[in-house]
Amino acid sequence: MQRKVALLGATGFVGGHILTEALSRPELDITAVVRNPAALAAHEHLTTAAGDVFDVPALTEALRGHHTVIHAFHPGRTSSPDEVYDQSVAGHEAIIAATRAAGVPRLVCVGGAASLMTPEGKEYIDSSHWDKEFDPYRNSILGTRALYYMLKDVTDLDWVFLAPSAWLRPGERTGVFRTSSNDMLFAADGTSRISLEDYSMVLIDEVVTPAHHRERFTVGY
Amino acid sequence: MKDGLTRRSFVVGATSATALAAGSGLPAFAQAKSFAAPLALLDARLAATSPDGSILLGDLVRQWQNGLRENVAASGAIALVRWDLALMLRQLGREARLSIKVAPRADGLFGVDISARSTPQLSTSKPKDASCNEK
Repeated sequence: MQRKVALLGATGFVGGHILTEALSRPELDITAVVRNPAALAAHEHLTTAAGDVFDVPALTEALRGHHTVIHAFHPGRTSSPDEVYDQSVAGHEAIIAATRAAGVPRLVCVGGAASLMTPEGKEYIDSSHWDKEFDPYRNSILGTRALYYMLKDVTDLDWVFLAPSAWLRPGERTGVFRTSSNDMLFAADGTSRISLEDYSMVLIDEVVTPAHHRERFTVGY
Repeated sequence: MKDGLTRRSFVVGATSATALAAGSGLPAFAQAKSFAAPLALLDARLAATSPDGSILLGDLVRQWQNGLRENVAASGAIALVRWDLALMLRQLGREARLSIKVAPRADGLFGVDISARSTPQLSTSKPKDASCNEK
């Protein structure tokens, strides 16, 4: 049976990979709600809809009738570092509100690693494991962490927050990875990483066969 | 801003919408441009049944499209809702070009005050250029 899934952020860095993975699953029909539908190539299982996540009433209408919403929205490069946190949180609020109002039961969220616990008992963003290379993106990362804390108060949606490892970059779809609920994962070489391809596969698996409910989990090597 | 729009007044249903409006710190705004009593709107998740005179908000977007917009524009409204419906009401109201105030409350709910649209002054006098079609 075909399952209708709405994807927010399909033209983004992570969302683009998620779209590719989703379209490889013939049982999914994807509706990409994007500001510029022309940016996406046509596909038999892809419908595009022009939309702005900040327009909650319109987003509600766009989401109606779907089984799952995938939240891969990020304010992106148009936002200044000072604005990105506020815009991220506003986007999270709008998406939660519209998903709820549209009666879509399942919300699958692209998360971040900031709130994962490190061996020293601190969240990654406050720990000695924090990579200084992420400093320029700190407000953006805090915005994604805020989503996790917002979701913890959401009891009427079947949400999941999939946190990647610290480094999320294009690579290979290996299918070999580990998962954890709260603890940051470190590979044998001491790095915390996951490819976008493997991350997307795990996320779409959660859409096809939900295994986590109202919880966060992470994936890494 | 006063927190006069109390949850109790909705849930217990001890007051009519008009009295609710009159007793609130919020509603002066809604009443200012309307001769009709403002509508009382209540988040359906806060009460199983509708208190006296209030409209339960469930599928707000559909309710808005199916007549609520016109009624709110005509009478104004005061709402007691959770944050997501406050966000929705603010955007719907703005789309309808209505003035809106949203006030967070100590109990985590939100009071929303939507003013009625002012009625344009109707004139029965003949426009100066009305003769152009009267040949």
